[in-house]
Amino acid sequence: MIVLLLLATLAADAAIQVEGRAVPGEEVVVRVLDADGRGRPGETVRVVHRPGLQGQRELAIGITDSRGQVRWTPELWGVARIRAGDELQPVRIAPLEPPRGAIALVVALIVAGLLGSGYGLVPPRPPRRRRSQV
Amino acid sequence: MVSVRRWMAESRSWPGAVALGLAVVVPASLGPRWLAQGGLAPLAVATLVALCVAAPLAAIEVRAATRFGSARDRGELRPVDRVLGATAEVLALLLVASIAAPLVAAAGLTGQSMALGGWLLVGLATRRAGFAPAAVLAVAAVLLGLVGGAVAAAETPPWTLLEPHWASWREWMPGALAVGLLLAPAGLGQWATGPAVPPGGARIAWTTAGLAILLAVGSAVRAGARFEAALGVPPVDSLAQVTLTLAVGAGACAVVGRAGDSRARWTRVGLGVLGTLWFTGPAAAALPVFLSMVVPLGMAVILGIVAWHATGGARLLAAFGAALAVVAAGGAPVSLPTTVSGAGALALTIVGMFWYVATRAVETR
Repeated sequence: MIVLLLLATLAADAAIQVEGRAVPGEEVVVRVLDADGRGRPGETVRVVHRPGLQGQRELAIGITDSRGQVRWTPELWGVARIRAGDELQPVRIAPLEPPRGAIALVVALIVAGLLGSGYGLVPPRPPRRRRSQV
Repeated sequence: MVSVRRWMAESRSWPGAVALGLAVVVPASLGPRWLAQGGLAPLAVATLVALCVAAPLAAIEVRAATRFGSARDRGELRPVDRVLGATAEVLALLLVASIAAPLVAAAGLTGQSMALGGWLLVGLATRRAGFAPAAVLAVAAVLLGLVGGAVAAAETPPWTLLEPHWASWREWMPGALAVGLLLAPAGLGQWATGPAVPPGGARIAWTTAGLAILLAVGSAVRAGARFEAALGVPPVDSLAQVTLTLAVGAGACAVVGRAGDSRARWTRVGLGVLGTLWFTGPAAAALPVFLSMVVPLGMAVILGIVAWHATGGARLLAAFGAALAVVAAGGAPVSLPTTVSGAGALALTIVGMFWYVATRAVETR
Protein backbone atom coordinates (compact mmCIF):
# COMPACT_ATOMS: atom_id res chain seq x y z
CA MET A 1 0.00 0.00 0.00
CA ILE A 2 2.83 2.37 0.89
CA VAL A 3 4.54 1.53 -2.40
CA LEU A 4 1.33 2.29 -4.30
CA LEU A 5 0.95 5.65 -2.56
CA LEU A 6 4.54 6.49 -3.37
CA LEU A 7 4.03 5.54 -6.99
CA ALA A 8 0.87 7.63 -7.15
CA THR A 9 2.77 10.61 -5.74
CA LEU A 10 5.54 10.15 -8.24
CA ALA A 11 3.00 9.77 -11.03
CA ALA A 12 1.65 13.22 -10.25
CA ASP A 13 4.86 14.71 -11.68
CA ALA A 14 5.10 12.30 -14.65
CA ALA A 15 4.39 13.20 -18.31
CA ILE A 16 1.35 10.94 -18.31
CA GLN A 17 -1.21 11.25 -15.55
CA VAL A 18 -4.31 9.19 -14.92
CA GLU A 19 -7.02 11.05 -13.05
CA GLY A 20 -9.31 8.81 -11.11
CA ARG A 21 -9.19 5.18 -10.12
CA ALA A 22 -8.80 2.89 -13.14
CA VAL A 23 -11.48 0.22 -13.06
CA PRO A 24 -12.85 -1.77 -16.05
CA GLY A 25 -15.94 -0.13 -17.49
CA GLU A 26 -15.47 3.23 -15.76
CA GLU A 27 -14.16 6.23 -17.63
CA VAL A 28 -11.04 8.03 -16.48
CA VAL A 29 -9.09 10.94 -17.94
CA VAL A 30 -5.54 10.50 -19.18
CA ARG A 31 -3.49 13.69 -19.41
CA VAL A 32 -0.26 13.97 -21.39
CA LEU A 33 1.97 16.86 -20.30
CA ASP A 34 5.01 18.49 -21.79
CA ALA A 35 8.17 19.48 -19.92
CA ASP A 36 6.51 22.68 -18.68
CA GLY A 37 3.55 20.82 -17.27
CA ARG A 38 1.15 21.94 -20.00
CA GLY A 39 -1.08 19.55 -21.87
CA ARG A 40 0.25 18.14 -25.18
CA PRO A 41 -2.45 18.11 -27.84
CA GLY A 42 -2.51 15.66 -30.75
CA GLU A 43 -0.61 12.92 -28.94
CA THR A 44 -1.58 9.32 -29.72
CA VAL A 45 -2.17 7.43 -26.50
CA ARG A 46 -2.11 3.63 -26.34
CA VAL A 47 -2.36 1.12 -23.50
CA VAL A 48 -0.53 -2.20 -23.22
CA HIS A 49 -2.34 -4.66 -20.96
CA ARG A 50 -0.24 -7.33 -19.21
CA PRO A 51 3.11 -6.03 -20.54
CA GLY A 52 5.61 -8.83 -21.06
CA LEU A 53 3.13 -11.53 -20.03
CA GLN A 54 1.12 -14.10 -21.91
CA GLY A 55 -2.04 -12.43 -23.14
CA GLN A 56 -0.36 -9.07 -23.73
CA ARG A 57 -2.68 -6.75 -25.66
CA GLU A 58 -2.07 -3.28 -27.01
CA LEU A 59 -5.13 -1.11 -27.52
CA ALA A 60 -5.55 2.43 -28.72
CA ILE A 61 -7.04 4.88 -26.27
CA GLY A 62 -7.26 7.93 -28.54
CA ILE A 63 -5.63 11.24 -29.41
CA THR A 64 -5.29 14.01 -26.86
CA ASP A 65 -7.41 17.14 -27.32
CA SER A 66 -6.32 20.77 -27.05
CA ARG A 67 -5.94 20.37 -23.31
CA GLY A 68 -3.76 17.28 -23.68
CA GLN A 69 -6.49 15.02 -22.35
CA VAL A 70 -8.14 11.89 -23.64
CA ARG A 71 -10.91 9.87 -22.06
CA TRP A 72 -10.30 6.19 -21.51
CA THR A 73 -12.56 3.36 -20.41
CA PRO A 74 -10.36 0.38 -19.43
CA GLU A 75 -11.54 -2.91 -20.87
CA LEU A 76 -9.27 -5.31 -18.96
CA TRP A 77 -8.04 -5.43 -15.39
CA GLY A 78 -4.47 -5.90 -14.20
CA VAL A 79 -1.14 -4.19 -14.64
CA ALA A 80 -0.91 -2.07 -17.79
CA ARG A 81 1.32 0.56 -19.37
CA ILE A 82 0.03 3.72 -20.97
CA ARG A 83 2.20 4.91 -23.83
CA ALA A 84 2.23 8.38 -25.37
CA GLY A 85 5.11 9.02 -27.71
CA ASP A 86 8.25 7.95 -25.87
CA GLU A 87 6.74 8.17 -22.41
CA LEU A 88 5.48 5.18 -20.49
CA GLN A 89 3.34 5.19 -17.38
CA PRO A 90 2.57 1.98 -15.53
CA VAL A 91 -0.90 1.77 -14.05
CA ARG A 92 -2.90 -0.81 -12.15
CA ILE A 93 -6.48 -1.40 -13.24
CA ALA A 94 -8.25 -2.89 -10.25
CA PRO A 95 -10.69 -5.72 -11.03
CA LEU A 96 -14.36 -5.13 -10.29
CA GLU A 97 -14.37 -8.27 -8.21
CA PRO A 98 -11.56 -10.63 -7.19
CA PRO A 99 -10.71 -13.05 -10.03
CA ARG A 100 -12.48 -16.21 -8.96
CA GLY A 101 -10.60 -18.50 -11.34
CA ALA A 102 -7.16 -17.56 -10.06
CA ILE A 103 -8.31 -17.58 -6.44
CA ALA A 104 -9.88 -21.01 -6.85
CA LEU A 105 -6.70 -22.31 -8.44
CA VAL A 106 -4.51 -21.00 -5.61
CA VAL A 107 -6.82 -22.55 -3.02
CA ALA A 108 -6.91 -25.85 -4.94
CA LEU A 109 -3.11 -25.98 -5.16
CA ILE A 110 -2.71 -25.25 -1.45
CA VAL A 111 -5.27 -27.94 -0.60
CA ALA A 112 -3.49 -30.40 -2.92
CA GLY A 113 -0.19 -29.64 -1.24
CA LEU A 114 -1.66 -30.07 2.25
CA LEU A 115 -3.47 -33.29 1.33
CA GLY A 116 -0.36 -34.73 -0.28
CA SER A 117 1.76 -33.80 2.72
CA GLY A 118 -0.74 -35.29 5.12
CA TYR A 119 -1.32 -38.50 3.17
CA GLY A 120 2.37 -39.35 3.26
CA LEU A 121 2.54 -38.98 7.04
CA VAL A 122 -0.45 -41.22 7.79
CA PRO A 123 0.93 -44.60 8.91
CA PRO A 124 -0.27 -47.55 6.81
CA ARG A 125 -2.81 -49.91 8.32
CA PRO A 126 -1.32 -53.16 9.61
CA PRO A 127 -2.44 -56.19 7.58
CA ARG A 128 -5.50 -57.96 8.96
CA ARG A 129 -4.92 -61.26 10.67
CA ARG A 130 -6.77 -64.20 9.21
CA ARG A 131 -9.10 -65.97 11.60
CA SER A 132 -7.70 -69.38 12.39
CA GLN A 133 -10.04 -72.18 11.42
CA VAL A 134 -11.24 -74.30 14.30
CA MET B 1 23.62 -39.36 19.18
CA VAL B 2 23.35 -43.13 18.87
CA SER B 3 19.58 -42.96 19.33
CA VAL B 4 19.31 -40.24 16.66
CA ARG B 5 21.25 -42.36 14.19
CA ARG B 6 19.03 -45.32 14.99
CA TRP B 7 15.97 -43.12 14.44
CA MET B 8 17.41 -42.00 11.11
CA ALA B 9 17.96 -45.63 10.09
CA GLU B 10 14.54 -46.87 11.22
CA SER B 11 12.29 -43.87 10.57
CA ARG B 12 9.73 -44.19 7.80
CA SER B 13 9.80 -40.43 7.30
CA TRP B 14 13.54 -39.78 7.26
CA PRO B 15 14.25 -40.81 3.64
CA GLY B 16 11.43 -38.47 2.55
CA ALA B 17 13.00 -35.63 4.50
CA VAL B 18 16.18 -36.25 2.56
CA ALA B 19 14.39 -36.45 -0.80
CA LEU B 20 12.72 -33.15 0.09
CA GLY B 21 16.17 -31.59 -0.10
CA LEU B 22 16.21 -32.23 -3.84
CA ALA B 23 12.48 -31.64 -4.33
CA VAL B 24 12.58 -28.00 -3.10
CA VAL B 25 15.39 -26.92 -5.43
CA VAL B 26 13.23 -26.50 -8.53
CA PRO B 27 10.07 -24.89 -7.01
CA ALA B 28 12.21 -22.31 -5.18
CA SER B 29 13.69 -21.27 -8.54
CA LEU B 30 10.35 -20.76 -10.38
CA GLY B 31 10.29 -17.00 -10.64
CA PRO B 32 8.31 -14.40 -12.58
CA ARG B 33 9.67 -15.59 -15.94
CA TRP B 34 8.07 -19.02 -15.49
CA LEU B 35 4.79 -17.47 -14.40
CA ALA B 36 4.82 -15.04 -17.35
CA GLN B 37 4.22 -17.92 -19.79
CA GLY B 38 0.88 -19.06 -18.42
CA GLY B 39 0.30 -17.83 -14.89
CA LEU B 40 -0.71 -20.60 -12.52
CA ALA B 41 -1.66 -22.97 -15.35
CA PRO B 42 1.82 -24.60 -15.59
CA LEU B 43 1.93 -25.04 -11.83
CA ALA B 44 -1.51 -26.64 -11.85
CA VAL B 45 -0.37 -29.18 -14.46
CA ALA B 46 2.88 -29.75 -12.56
CA THR B 47 0.89 -30.41 -9.37
CA LEU B 48 -1.30 -32.93 -11.16
CA VAL B 49 1.75 -34.72 -12.57
CA ALA B 50 3.47 -34.63 -9.18
CA LEU B 51 0.61 -36.20 -7.22
CA CYS B 52 -0.71 -38.61 -9.86
CA VAL B 53 2.46 -39.75 -11.64
CA ALA B 54 5.62 -38.63 -9.86
CA ALA B 55 4.70 -39.66 -6.31
CA PRO B 56 3.59 -43.18 -7.39
CA LEU B 57 6.81 -43.37 -9.47
CA ALA B 58 8.82 -42.47 -6.40
CA ALA B 59 7.06 -45.28 -4.51
CA ILE B 60 8.15 -47.65 -7.29
CA GLU B 61 11.72 -46.37 -7.00
CA VAL B 62 11.55 -47.04 -3.26
CA ARG B 63 10.92 -50.71 -4.00
CA ALA B 64 13.91 -50.72 -6.35
CA ALA B 65 16.03 -49.19 -3.58
CA THR B 66 15.86 -52.34 -1.48
CA ARG B 67 17.43 -54.42 -4.26
CA PHE B 68 19.90 -51.66 -5.10
CA GLY B 69 20.98 -51.17 -1.50
CA SER B 70 21.44 -54.84 -0.68
CA ALA B 71 23.33 -55.47 -3.93
CA ARG B 72 25.59 -52.52 -3.18
CA ASP B 73 26.24 -53.76 0.36
CA ARG B 74 27.21 -57.16 -1.02
CA GLY B 75 29.38 -55.58 -3.70
CA GLU B 76 27.29 -57.23 -6.41
CA LEU B 77 26.01 -54.26 -8.38
CA ARG B 78 25.32 -55.04 -12.02
CA PRO B 79 26.53 -52.61 -14.71
CA VAL B 80 22.99 -51.28 -15.24
CA ASP B 81 22.69 -50.54 -11.52
CA ARG B 82 26.03 -48.74 -11.53
CA VAL B 83 24.79 -46.68 -14.48
CA LEU B 84 21.68 -45.87 -12.42
CA GLY B 85 23.72 -44.76 -9.42
CA ALA B 86 26.20 -42.72 -11.43
CA THR B 87 23.50 -41.06 -13.55
CA ALA B 88 21.51 -40.19 -10.43
CA GLU B 89 24.56 -38.70 -8.82
CA VAL B 90 25.80 -36.55 -11.72
CA LEU B 91 22.30 -35.44 -12.74
CA ALA B 92 21.34 -34.33 -9.23
CA LEU B 93 24.67 -32.58 -8.69
CA LEU B 94 24.52 -30.67 -11.97
CA LEU B 95 20.84 -29.81 -11.41
CA VAL B 96 21.71 -28.18 -8.09
CA ALA B 97 24.75 -26.48 -9.63
CA SER B 98 22.74 -25.15 -12.59
CA ILE B 99 20.06 -23.68 -10.33
CA ALA B 100 22.70 -22.13 -8.07
CA ALA B 101 24.54 -20.61 -11.06
CA PRO B 102 22.27 -17.54 -11.57
CA LEU B 103 22.56 -16.71 -7.85
CA VAL B 104 26.34 -16.93 -8.08
CA ALA B 105 26.48 -14.95 -11.32
CA ALA B 106 24.41 -12.13 -9.82
CA ALA B 107 26.95 -11.73 -7.02
CA GLY B 108 29.97 -11.49 -9.30
CA LEU B 109 33.38 -12.52 -7.96
CA THR B 110 32.05 -12.58 -4.41
CA GLY B 111 29.47 -15.07 -5.54
CA GLN B 112 32.10 -17.41 -6.94
CA SER B 113 34.00 -17.32 -3.65
CA MET B 114 30.77 -17.97 -1.78
CA ALA B 115 29.97 -20.87 -4.10
CA LEU B 116 33.30 -22.49 -3.30
CA GLY B 117 32.84 -21.85 0.41
CA GLY B 118 29.24 -23.05 0.27
CA TRP B 119 30.07 -26.40 -1.27
CA LEU B 120 32.95 -26.90 1.21
CA LEU B 121 30.55 -26.11 4.04
CA VAL B 122 28.13 -28.69 2.62
CA GLY B 123 30.90 -31.27 2.61
CA LEU B 124 31.82 -30.54 6.22
CA ALA B 125 28.21 -30.42 7.40
CA THR B 126 27.32 -33.75 5.81
CA ARG B 127 30.50 -35.29 7.19
CA ARG B 128 29.41 -34.38 10.67
CA ALA B 129 25.64 -34.75 10.47
CA GLY B 130 24.89 -36.91 7.42
CA PHE B 131 21.58 -36.05 5.79
CA ALA B 132 20.27 -33.90 8.65
CA PRO B 133 21.27 -30.54 7.09
CA ALA B 134 19.28 -31.42 3.95
CA ALA B 135 16.08 -31.90 5.93
CA VAL B 136 16.56 -28.82 8.09
CA LEU B 137 17.36 -26.54 5.16
CA ALA B 138 14.49 -27.94 3.09
CA VAL B 139 11.90 -27.37 5.81
CA ALA B 140 13.29 -23.88 6.40
CA ALA B 141 12.95 -23.12 2.67
CA VAL B 142 9.34 -24.35 2.61
CA LEU B 143 8.38 -22.30 5.66
CA LEU B 144 10.12 -19.18 4.37
CA GLY B 145 8.45 -19.56 0.98
CA LEU B 146 5.00 -19.88 2.55
CA VAL B 147 5.47 -16.99 4.97
CA GLY B 148 6.97 -14.79 2.26
CA GLY B 149 4.03 -15.48 -0.04
CA ALA B 150 1.44 -14.81 2.66
CA VAL B 151 3.04 -11.54 3.75
CA ALA B 152 3.41 -10.24 0.19
CA ALA B 153 -0.17 -11.20 -0.75
CA ALA B 154 -1.51 -9.45 2.35
CA GLU B 155 0.06 -6.20 1.12
CA THR B 156 -0.82 -6.43 -2.59
CA PRO B 157 -3.12 -8.83 -4.46
CA PRO B 158 -1.02 -10.95 -6.85
CA TRP B 159 -3.54 -11.68 -9.61
CA THR B 160 -2.10 -10.20 -12.83
CA LEU B 161 0.90 -12.52 -12.92
CA LEU B 162 -1.02 -15.50 -11.58
CA GLU B 163 -3.99 -15.36 -13.97
CA PRO B 164 -3.95 -18.75 -15.71
CA HIS B 165 -3.58 -18.82 -19.51
CA TRP B 166 -4.43 -22.29 -20.80
CA ALA B 167 -4.42 -21.36 -24.49
CA SER B 168 -0.64 -21.03 -24.58
CA TRP B 169 -0.11 -24.62 -23.35
CA ARG B 170 2.32 -25.44 -26.17
CA GLU B 171 4.80 -23.00 -24.67
CA TRP B 172 4.69 -24.13 -21.05
CA MET B 173 3.52 -27.78 -21.09
CA PRO B 174 6.96 -29.43 -21.56
CA GLY B 175 8.40 -27.45 -18.67
CA ALA B 176 5.37 -28.19 -16.50
CA LEU B 177 5.76 -31.94 -17.12
CA ALA B 178 9.43 -31.87 -16.12
CA VAL B 179 8.74 -29.73 -13.05
CA GLY B 180 5.92 -32.07 -12.03
CA LEU B 181 8.26 -35.05 -12.07
CA LEU B 182 10.88 -33.11 -10.11
CA LEU B 183 8.45 -32.11 -7.34
CA ALA B 184 8.34 -35.67 -5.92
CA PRO B 185 11.25 -35.94 -6.98
CA ALA B 186 10.91 -38.83 -9.41
CA GLY B 187 13.44 -39.58 -12.08
CA LEU B 188 16.49 -38.20 -10.26
CA GLY B 189 17.25 -41.57 -8.72
CA GLN B 190 17.07 -40.15 -5.20
CA TRP B 191 14.60 -42.76 -4.02
CA ALA B 192 16.26 -45.67 -5.79
CA THR B 193 19.79 -44.98 -4.56
CA GLY B 194 19.27 -42.87 -1.45
CA PRO B 195 18.65 -43.98 2.13
CA ALA B 196 16.46 -47.08 2.25
CA VAL B 197 12.81 -46.61 3.19
CA PRO B 198 11.61 -49.07 5.84
CA PRO B 199 8.61 -51.25 4.91
CA GLY B 200 5.38 -49.29 4.81
CA GLY B 201 7.09 -45.98 4.25
CA ALA B 202 6.67 -45.58 0.49
CA ARG B 203 3.83 -43.09 1.03
CA ILE B 204 6.36 -40.52 2.17
CA ALA B 205 6.85 -39.51 -1.49
CA TRP B 206 3.45 -37.79 -1.37
CA THR B 207 4.59 -35.72 1.59
CA THR B 208 7.70 -34.70 -0.31
CA ALA B 209 5.62 -33.71 -3.33
CA GLY B 210 3.04 -31.92 -1.17
CA LEU B 211 5.63 -29.79 0.61
CA ALA B 212 7.36 -28.95 -2.68
CA ILE B 213 3.97 -27.89 -4.12
CA LEU B 214 3.35 -25.62 -1.13
CA LEU B 215 6.75 -23.99 -1.66
CA ALA B 216 5.99 -23.48 -5.36
CA VAL B 217 2.63 -21.85 -4.54
CA GLY B 218 4.19 -19.61 -1.89
CA SER B 219 6.94 -18.52 -4.29
CA ALA B 220 4.42 -17.88 -7.07
CA VAL B 221 2.12 -15.81 -4.87
CA ARG B 222 5.05 -13.73 -3.64
CA ALA B 223 6.31 -13.15 -7.19
CA GLY B 224 2.81 -12.12 -8.27
CA ALA B 225 2.35 -9.71 -5.37
CA ARG B 226 5.70 -8.04 -5.97
CA PHE B 227 4.98 -7.80 -9.71
CA GLU B 228 1.67 -6.10 -8.91
CA ALA B 229 3.20 -3.75 -6.34
CA ALA B 230 5.93 -2.64 -8.75
CA LEU B 231 3.43 -2.35 -11.65
CA GLY B 232 5.21 -4.79 -13.92
CA VAL B 233 8.88 -4.23 -13.18
CA PRO B 234 9.95 -7.22 -11.08
CA PRO B 235 12.48 -5.98 -8.53
CA VAL B 236 15.20 -8.09 -6.98
CA ASP B 237 13.59 -10.05 -4.15
CA SER B 238 15.99 -10.61 -1.29
CA LEU B 239 13.65 -13.00 0.53
CA ALA B 240 13.21 -15.12 -2.58
CA GLN B 241 16.97 -15.25 -3.01
CA VAL B 242 17.37 -16.39 0.60
CA THR B 243 14.69 -19.06 0.04
CA LEU B 244 16.47 -20.22 -3.11
CA THR B 245 19.81 -20.30 -1.28
CA LEU B 246 18.32 -22.47 1.46
CA ALA B 247 16.77 -24.77 -1.15
CA VAL B 248 20.04 -25.04 -3.08
CA GLY B 249 21.83 -25.82 0.19
CA ALA B 250 19.28 -28.53 0.95
CA GLY B 251 19.73 -30.07 -2.49
CA ALA B 252 23.51 -29.97 -2.17
CA CYS B 253 23.40 -31.66 1.25
CA ALA B 254 20.98 -34.31 -0.03
CA VAL B 255 23.32 -35.25 -2.89
CA VAL B 256 26.69 -34.87 -1.15
CA GLY B 257 25.57 -36.73 1.97
CA ARG B 258 24.66 -39.92 0.10
CA ALA B 259 25.96 -43.24 1.29
CA GLY B 260 29.58 -43.87 0.45
CA ASP B 261 33.07 -43.30 1.75
CA SER B 262 34.53 -39.88 2.52
CA ARG B 263 36.47 -39.80 -0.74
CA ALA B 264 33.20 -40.09 -2.66
CA ARG B 265 31.76 -37.23 -0.61
CA TRP B 266 34.59 -34.87 -1.51
CA THR B 267 34.43 -35.98 -5.13
CA ARG B 268 30.80 -34.84 -5.15
CA VAL B 269 31.77 -31.56 -3.50
CA GLY B 270 34.41 -31.00 -6.17
CA LEU B 271 31.94 -31.82 -8.93
CA GLY B 272 29.43 -29.43 -7.36
CA VAL B 273 31.98 -26.59 -7.26
CA LEU B 274 33.09 -27.26 -10.84
CA GLY B 275 29.52 -27.51 -12.06
CA THR B 276 28.49 -24.25 -10.38
CA LEU B 277 31.45 -22.32 -11.76
CA TRP B 278 30.97 -24.00 -15.16
CA PHE B 279 27.36 -22.87 -15.45
CA THR B 280 28.18 -19.44 -14.03
CA GLY B 281 30.90 -18.78 -16.57
CA PRO B 282 31.69 -20.71 -19.77
CA ALA B 283 28.42 -22.67 -19.96
CA ALA B 284 26.02 -19.87 -19.02
CA ALA B 285 24.68 -19.80 -22.59
CA ALA B 286 23.98 -23.54 -22.38
CA LEU B 287 22.03 -23.29 -19.11
CA PRO B 288 18.49 -23.06 -20.60
CA VAL B 289 19.12 -26.06 -22.87
CA PHE B 290 20.64 -28.06 -20.01
CA LEU B 291 17.67 -27.45 -17.73
CA SER B 292 15.00 -27.89 -20.42
CA MET B 293 16.43 -30.83 -22.36
CA VAL B 294 19.43 -32.55 -20.75
CA VAL B 295 17.87 -32.90 -17.28
CA PRO B 296 14.61 -34.44 -18.59
CA LEU B 297 16.59 -36.81 -20.83
CA GLY B 298 18.66 -37.89 -17.81
CA MET B 299 15.43 -38.48 -15.88
CA ALA B 300 14.16 -40.57 -18.79
CA VAL B 301 17.29 -42.76 -18.55
CA ILE B 302 16.82 -43.27 -14.82
CA LEU B 303 13.11 -44.02 -15.15
CA GLY B 304 13.88 -46.39 -17.99
CA ILE B 305 16.23 -48.36 -15.73
CA VAL B 306 13.60 -48.35 -12.97
CA ALA B 307 11.06 -49.67 -15.50
CA TRP B 308 13.51 -52.41 -16.45
CA HIS B 309 13.70 -53.51 -12.81
CA ALA B 310 9.96 -53.24 -12.17
CA THR B 311 7.21 -55.67 -13.19
CA GLY B 312 3.56 -55.45 -14.10
CA GLY B 313 1.78 -52.16 -13.54
CA ALA B 314 4.83 -50.58 -11.93
CA ARG B 315 6.79 -51.19 -15.11
CA LEU B 316 4.05 -49.53 -17.18
CA LEU B 317 3.97 -46.48 -14.91
CA ALA B 318 7.75 -46.15 -14.90
CA ALA B 319 7.79 -46.43 -18.70
CA PHE B 320 5.06 -43.79 -18.88
CA GLY B 321 7.14 -41.54 -16.65
CA ALA B 322 10.15 -42.03 -18.91
CA ALA B 323 7.98 -41.16 -21.92
CA LEU B 324 6.75 -38.00 -20.17
CA ALA B 325 10.34 -36.97 -19.54
CA VAL B 326 11.22 -37.54 -23.22
CA VAL B 327 8.19 -35.45 -24.27
CA ALA B 328 9.31 -32.72 -21.86
CA ALA B 329 12.78 -32.74 -23.41
CA GLY B 330 11.60 -32.91 -27.00
CA GLY B 331 8.91 -30.27 -26.70
CA ALA B 332 10.93 -27.71 -24.75
CA PRO B 333 10.59 -24.31 -26.47
CA VAL B 334 14.26 -23.48 -26.18
CA SER B 335 16.75 -23.02 -28.96
CA LEU B 336 20.27 -24.40 -29.03
CA PRO B 337 23.10 -21.95 -28.30
CA THR B 338 23.86 -19.76 -31.29
CA THR B 339 27.46 -19.04 -30.40
CA VAL B 340 30.37 -21.41 -30.89
CA SER B 341 31.35 -21.14 -27.24
CA GLY B 342 27.82 -21.89 -26.05
CA ALA B 343 27.47 -24.88 -28.33
CA GLY B 344 30.90 -26.12 -27.30
CA ALA B 345 30.04 -25.72 -23.62
CA LEU B 346 26.83 -27.69 -24.04
CA ALA B 347 28.66 -30.45 -25.88
CA LEU B 348 31.38 -30.57 -23.23
CA THR B 349 28.73 -30.78 -20.50
CA ILE B 350 27.08 -33.78 -22.13
CA VAL B 351 30.42 -35.45 -22.85
CA GLY B 352 31.52 -34.84 -19.28
CA MET B 353 28.35 -36.40 -17.90
CA PHE B 354 28.72 -39.41 -20.19
CA TRP B 355 32.38 -39.83 -19.18
CA TYR B 356 31.48 -39.62 -15.48
CA VAL B 357 28.75 -42.24 -15.79
CA ALA B 358 30.89 -44.51 -17.94
CA THR B 359 33.87 -44.44 -15.59
CA ARG B 360 31.65 -45.04 -12.55
CA ALA B 361 29.81 -47.85 -14.31
CA VAL B 362 33.00 -49.80 -15.02
CA GLU B 363 33.73 -52.23 -12.22
CA THR B 364 37.21 -51.69 -10.81
CA ARG B 365 39.12 -54.80 -9.95
